[in-house]
Amino acid sequence: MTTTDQALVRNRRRNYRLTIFWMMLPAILGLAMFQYGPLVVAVRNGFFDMTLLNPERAKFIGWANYIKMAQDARFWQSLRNTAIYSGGKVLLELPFALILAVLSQQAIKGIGIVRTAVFAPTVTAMSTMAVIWNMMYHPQNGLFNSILTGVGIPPQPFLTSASQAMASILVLSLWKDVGSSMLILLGGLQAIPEEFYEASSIDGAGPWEQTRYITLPLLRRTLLYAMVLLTVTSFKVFTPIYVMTKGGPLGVTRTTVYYVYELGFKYLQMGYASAVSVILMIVMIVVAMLQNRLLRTEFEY
Amino acid sequence: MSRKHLVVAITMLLVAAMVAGCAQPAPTATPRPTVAPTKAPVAQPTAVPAEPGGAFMAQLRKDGYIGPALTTENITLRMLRTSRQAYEEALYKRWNEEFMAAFPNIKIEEEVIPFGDLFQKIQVIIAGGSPPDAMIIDGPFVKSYCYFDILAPLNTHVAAEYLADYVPATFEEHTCGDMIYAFPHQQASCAIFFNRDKFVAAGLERPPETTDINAGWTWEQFMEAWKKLTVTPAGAAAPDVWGLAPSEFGAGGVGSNYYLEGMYIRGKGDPKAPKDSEEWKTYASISEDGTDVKGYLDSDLAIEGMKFYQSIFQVEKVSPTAGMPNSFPDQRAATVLGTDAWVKRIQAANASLNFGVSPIPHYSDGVPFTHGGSTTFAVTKGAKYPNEAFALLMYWHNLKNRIEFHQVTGSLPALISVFAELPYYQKLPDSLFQATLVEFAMPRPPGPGYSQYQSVSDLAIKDIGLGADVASTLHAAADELNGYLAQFKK
Amino acid sequence: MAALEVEGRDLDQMARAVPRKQPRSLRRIVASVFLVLIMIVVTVGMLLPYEWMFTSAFKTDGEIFRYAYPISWKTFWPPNPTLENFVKVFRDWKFGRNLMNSVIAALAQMSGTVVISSLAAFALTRMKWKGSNLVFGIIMLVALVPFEVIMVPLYVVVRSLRLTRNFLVLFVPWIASPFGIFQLRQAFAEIPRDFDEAALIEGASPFQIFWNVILPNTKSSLVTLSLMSFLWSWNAFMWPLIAMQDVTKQVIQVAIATFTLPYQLPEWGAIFAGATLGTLPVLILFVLLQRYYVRSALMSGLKG
Repeated sequence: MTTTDQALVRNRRRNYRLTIFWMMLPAILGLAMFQYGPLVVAVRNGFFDMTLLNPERAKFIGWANYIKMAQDARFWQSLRNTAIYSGGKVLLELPFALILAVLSQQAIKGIGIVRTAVFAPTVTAMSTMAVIWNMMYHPQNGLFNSILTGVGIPPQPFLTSASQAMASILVLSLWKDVGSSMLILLGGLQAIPEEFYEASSIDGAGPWEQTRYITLPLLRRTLLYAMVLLTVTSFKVFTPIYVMTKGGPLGVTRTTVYYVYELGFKYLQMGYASAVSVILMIVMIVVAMLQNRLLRTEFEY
Repeated sequence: MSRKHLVVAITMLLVAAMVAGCAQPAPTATPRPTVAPTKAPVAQPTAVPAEPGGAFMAQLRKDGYIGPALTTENITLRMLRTSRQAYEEALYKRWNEEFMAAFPNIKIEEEVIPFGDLFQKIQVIIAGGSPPDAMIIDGPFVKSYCYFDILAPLNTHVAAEYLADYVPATFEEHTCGDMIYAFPHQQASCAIFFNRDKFVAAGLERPPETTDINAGWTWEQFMEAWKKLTVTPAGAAAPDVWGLAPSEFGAGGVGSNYYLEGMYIRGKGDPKAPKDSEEWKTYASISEDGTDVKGYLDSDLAIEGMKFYQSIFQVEKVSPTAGMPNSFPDQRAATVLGTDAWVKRIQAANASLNFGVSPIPHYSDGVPFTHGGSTTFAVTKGAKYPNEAFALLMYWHNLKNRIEFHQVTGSLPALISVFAELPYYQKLPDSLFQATLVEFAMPRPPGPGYSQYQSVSDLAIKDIGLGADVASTLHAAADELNGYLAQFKK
Repeated sequence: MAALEVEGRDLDQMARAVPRKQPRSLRRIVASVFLVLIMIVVTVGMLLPYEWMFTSAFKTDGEIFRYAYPISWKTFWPPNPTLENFVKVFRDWKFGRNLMNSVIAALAQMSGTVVISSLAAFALTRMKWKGSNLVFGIIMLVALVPFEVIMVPLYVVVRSLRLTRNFLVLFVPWIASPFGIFQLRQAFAEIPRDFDEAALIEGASPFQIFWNVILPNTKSSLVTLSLMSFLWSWNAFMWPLIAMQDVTKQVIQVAIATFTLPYQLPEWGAIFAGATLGTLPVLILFVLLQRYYVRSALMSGLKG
């Protein structure tokens, strides 16, 4: 090899690395400044006894917040509530979203309306929708109870009962969010080359076979993305609880993020709130890793 | 080389994270009284040196401003407040314009946010080290803000005569130690609104419309009336018309806001009983130093009061367990507990509604009780321009502007002399709210821990309204609250 | 996070693996009737709360809840339609300004997120460098942080950058999005490697491959991410409320919330009108972009 060739190769290699550098830079810079920086502060706050109303009086207390957490029944209850909500959300929303996405790919008259209808709730802010659902869930004079009594079912307490409150919030979230999961899955479906469907339909495969043998296997990356996104967002559920139940009745809808909010902004214990959220994040990391493991085995047949 | 870039990238990430992480709140400007410019007008050395602002400022001094002269530098005054009705917004706009016309060097910038997020917003801007010069605050939080050293006292900038004009409940609420920290913006008191037609239709005698609060009906009397006023259509699973409307405070429904539901507890007590008695403690709602609620929030009397509250929803079922917006103006409820400002709003929602206002109910074995307190304005301790902020708020709160404000909004004045200037306080229903405020209104539980107090008791009251065991719920709430209040012990 | 990778498969082989089956016409008819029923139930169920919100915006304050129970046609249709609420939000609350702010902020956040995420996702999937998986894992870590936790420290950051009165504060902190990078990374990884190798042999630079090979082949994912990030910005409430101090630059979600007043009954009519106005633009956007999600001709061949 001549020296000029070597220089050329070296030059190309340098350019290659520079390209990587410049492509990653905006993302890394943005995340470092606006997410990691604040995160570092939040983790640090977890070792302090502090309130936002006078951060200068903050006291370093070491691991005391974490020790307190171990004995805090509300914290454990909130973790359990979060698990119930997130588990329910993922198990219900993904299948629904997939069915709706596949359905809305069919050439049926009027399917565009269905697609728009499913997507519509994702567009309006949860805070507004929670107010409206709150009224529909009214234990005595709500829309749902009028319908139930109309078909001979006794009225239900919904959000005002410890046994139904979380399920009621789940149904609202499902209605609100299934459109965005559908949107992600539609994007994934669109990426599947059309030739596969054409080839298989020549072979006489019906929609069901096509879904089973083409769509699902080729959609697994998208499914994984939708699942991780869904898990992470449902772990962070806050707005419907803030608007509709404030964590009650009897604390059954107090999710961990709502508890963090209560601790920080109502009980003025930002230090403890930060410590609780650090633990929540660790739980989320563990769950995300488990999901990857699980999903990998499930789809690799 | 690839590794080198990676290292560079990660280093940058870490550095950026550190920089961002270490960005401590910038040191807040300490309130430094702006010294009046010494270059007095040369043309008239013997005359009293004219202050910036001229006649406007002279009037402001008559109104009660005693602080230093305002700056002549170009400044921007920052104000945080909550959104208001259009007619009220117009007032602020005009006052600000008048103020800026007198002081062309001062620019007022207002930030307007929803009331529900006010407390959180204040916490963030305080933690961020960027408080506005002046801000709206909720009355019961004054002592909290004072404890955390966020507000600047009025005494240095406002005349004592002006402070002496406060309605007593307002004065009490806005005071911390021997200083007063908020302007007499407005007050609120509660009464019971009732639909006259519905009482006639049910064949009931109507509750008295009077300013004699002791002559008002008892809770027990109302319960009997509510039972008859609650109408369930044949075959329906739930009433169509309710005796008592659910709360429209806060989030609505049971446990919506201590402002309303705390009355069911504190009304069981007695302010005249000895201070170590259960009656006094129940009425006081919290120990005098604001750190103990055991035996106050969960006394036997408090439990009795909450049992009555629970029976409204669970035994007699005369009120729905969840919020129902506008149920009173929509004639879906025959009575509603509301404040003075609701007269206007109910009329706006249903102009043809035939309603009366009767004194706040009391227990047959208790005294009339209502919470007072409303939103108010204060200057922050970290204000860049405290003098100008005090002057602006003084202008908003001078007698002339107060009279106009209450005429426009219909809210209760917090200055005694304003009542005399408003003829409608001579007749019902406004006279009733005035009498209730002056004779019976109490601030919400005083002390630096009001946020905790309200949060814990709201949840407890909600659970009770939905059927939880009263005694154990209140005891647990009191224990929990005492845990939060321990930090305020000296 | 490296575990997220799944091996690519021979797609043609999979297509051929689909078993043959004879169509049965009766089953078809029953199935399509069933399908239409599902469609109707889904549509009505999804739209009912919406319909109530839209039509309530045309009712007076007093009418909105008067007809909410018991159900009648008045529940779902304004008996005396009025534009009063819309006039009120535009005239008294200057809602037009908030609407415009939201549109600009959402478009800015959308473009920023798509550009930054696609660049990063390309470097992470199509270029070979040590530690790329580690960097990706670190990026995904922040996706797990609840906003309520970093809100205050983040506020301190934007304040020290003097952004709290600047329009930038609404979207700049969010344009570097771990979700965006994740989503495009998944999409980019689906494109067969031979595509860029072919381009590489022709002497294309990595950026040319990014621009000419990857982006054109992932249009649907790019549009999905655009709409998602538009939505994230559009529906944001807490952050603009906390961070934006200039009331003339505030967004609609905060504006809608300001219709509730202290110690008073909320302005329900204005709230519904505001929510209606906040919904329509994004809904229209979705309908316009539909062709990017939907393979309309897909099953038509089977029908004949």
